[in-house]
Amino acid sequence: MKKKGITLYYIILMLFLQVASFGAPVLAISEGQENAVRAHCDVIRSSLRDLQKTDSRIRVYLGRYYDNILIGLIKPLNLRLLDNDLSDISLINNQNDFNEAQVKFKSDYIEYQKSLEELVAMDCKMEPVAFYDRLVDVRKRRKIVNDDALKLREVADEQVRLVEVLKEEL
Amino acid sequence: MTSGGRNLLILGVVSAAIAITTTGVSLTIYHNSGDIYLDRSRPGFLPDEEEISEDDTEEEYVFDKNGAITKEVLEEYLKHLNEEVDALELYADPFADEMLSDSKLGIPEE
Repeated sequence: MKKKGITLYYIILMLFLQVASFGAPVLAISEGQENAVRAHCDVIRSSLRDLQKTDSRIRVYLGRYYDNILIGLIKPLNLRLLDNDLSDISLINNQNDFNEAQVKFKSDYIEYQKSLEELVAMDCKMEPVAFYDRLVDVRKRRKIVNDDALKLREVADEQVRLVEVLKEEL
Repeated sequence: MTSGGRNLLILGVVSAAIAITTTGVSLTIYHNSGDIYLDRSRPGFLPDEEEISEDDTEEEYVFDKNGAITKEVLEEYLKHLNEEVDALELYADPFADEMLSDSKLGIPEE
């Protein structure tokens, strides 16, 4: 009975320690980095604000050319091919791919900018660790947007290739 | 206060309440939909002078969706398509990692 009691005590102790460890924050940065974030907080936030503006400029620039490619070139070609009974399933699929990729790019960009804005609003002097954790999250979101842009470029290149093939077949 | 004056006051208060409510709803939708992050007309995000160039007044090329399909038509199409694709090359690796790296932000590496 006494042995069962001691065993139960240790089980409860282990469970308590497990739960306690989940509650503790995961320290993503070293003390040196924490001090650096605290010390250069204003400069870091200023750099992030500049990055917001630069990203906005890039997004508008790319968005314009994505629209030109999809609305001005990809879609009308498929309509004209259909009109001439020359519809090409690869070109239709490519149109769908471009459209989906553009929608994804826009949606992921919004999530990234939302996250970046929340990061800029944080007080890195008072909460350097939380700030750095958020920075890591923003980096992940930025990478997703980068991948989306590269995918759009890939689909645009594929459009060039498919049209060249079509031209040779005529 | 006359009844006419009282009615006018009520009308003013109700109108103001409706205006404030609809403005609040619009701003909430604007924020929650994410459009605020695409809007370059908000303070701090206005285009710089050098971004507004004469090229912006030119009409974008749109391929005619009517007409025959010939080799010459597709060559013309490819010429315009390649121009658009080449324009993307200005930002070959947009939203690259380095701009948010520790070194770029002045945070020492671990």
